[in-house]
Amino acid sequence: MKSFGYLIRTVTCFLLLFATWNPTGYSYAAWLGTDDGSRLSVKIAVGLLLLALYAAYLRIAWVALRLPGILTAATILYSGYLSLRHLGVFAADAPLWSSYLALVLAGLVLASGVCWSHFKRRISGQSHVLTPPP
Amino acid sequence: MMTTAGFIVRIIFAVLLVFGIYNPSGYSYYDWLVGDLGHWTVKLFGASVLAFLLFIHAQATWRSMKLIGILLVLSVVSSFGWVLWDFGVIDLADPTTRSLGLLSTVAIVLGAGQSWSLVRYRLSGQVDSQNLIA
Repeated sequence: MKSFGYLIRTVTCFLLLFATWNPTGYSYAAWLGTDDGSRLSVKIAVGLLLLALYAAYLRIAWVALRLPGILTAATILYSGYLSLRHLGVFAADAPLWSSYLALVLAGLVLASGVCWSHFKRRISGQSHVLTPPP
Repeated sequence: MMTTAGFIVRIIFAVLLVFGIYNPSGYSYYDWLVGDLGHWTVKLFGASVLAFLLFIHAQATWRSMKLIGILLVLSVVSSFGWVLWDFGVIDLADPTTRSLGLLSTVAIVLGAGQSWSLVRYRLSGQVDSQNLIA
C-alpha cells in the first residue's frame, strides 16, 4: 500500500469521528437532538449505518493494536502534541485537553489501527491473520 | 484485490441466486419444482447446484461476519427499507413488495458476506483464512 492509501484511510477515520460528533454543532449527534423536520426513520437509518461502520473500524483497529498498541499510539501522539506545544509550534497556553484535541487523537489512533496490518506486512512481510493456521 | 465492480458483481450474483430459487413472479426454481413440467433428474440437478451455491454463500457469510455482522447488515438494510416506506416509495401492505423486500434483504446479506473478507483485507490488510486441518 502506498502513501495515498494511508492518507485516504486516515481521512475516512476523521470523517467517521467528526460526522458522529464535533463541537461546531453540525454532526449526527447534534442532528439527533434538533427537530428540523427530518423523519425519525432517516435518523435511525443513518445511526445504524454509523454503528455498522464503527463496528467494522473499531474491530479492525482493536485486533491490530489491542490495548498495548492503543496505549502506545495514544502516548506517542499526546507526548508529541505536548512537545510541539513546548517548542512553540502551538501557542504555549494551548489547552492540555480540548474536544478537538480528543477528536484528532482518537482519529489518528483509529487510523493507525486501520493502517497497521498493511504497514506491518509492508515493512516486515508478516501478515496479520484472523484465524491463524496451526 | 477487491474493487467496486467486484463488490457489485458479488451482490448481483447473490441477488440472481436468491431470486432464482424463489421469487413472487411465478418463474423460479421453486415454482418449477412444484410444477408438473420437467423430469425429476433435471430438478435434482438444479437443486444440487442451487444448494451448493447457497452453501458457499452462507458459509462465506458466516465465516466473515458471524452473527454480529449479519445483524448489523440486517439492521442497516431494514432501516433503509423503513426510510423508503416512510417516504412512500414502497408499500409494505402489499405482500409482493414484502416478499421482494425479504428476498432482497437475504440477497444483500449473502452478497455482503461473500464480499466482506475481501473488503476487510483491502481496507485493513487483515487476512481471513480457513484451517483445512484443524
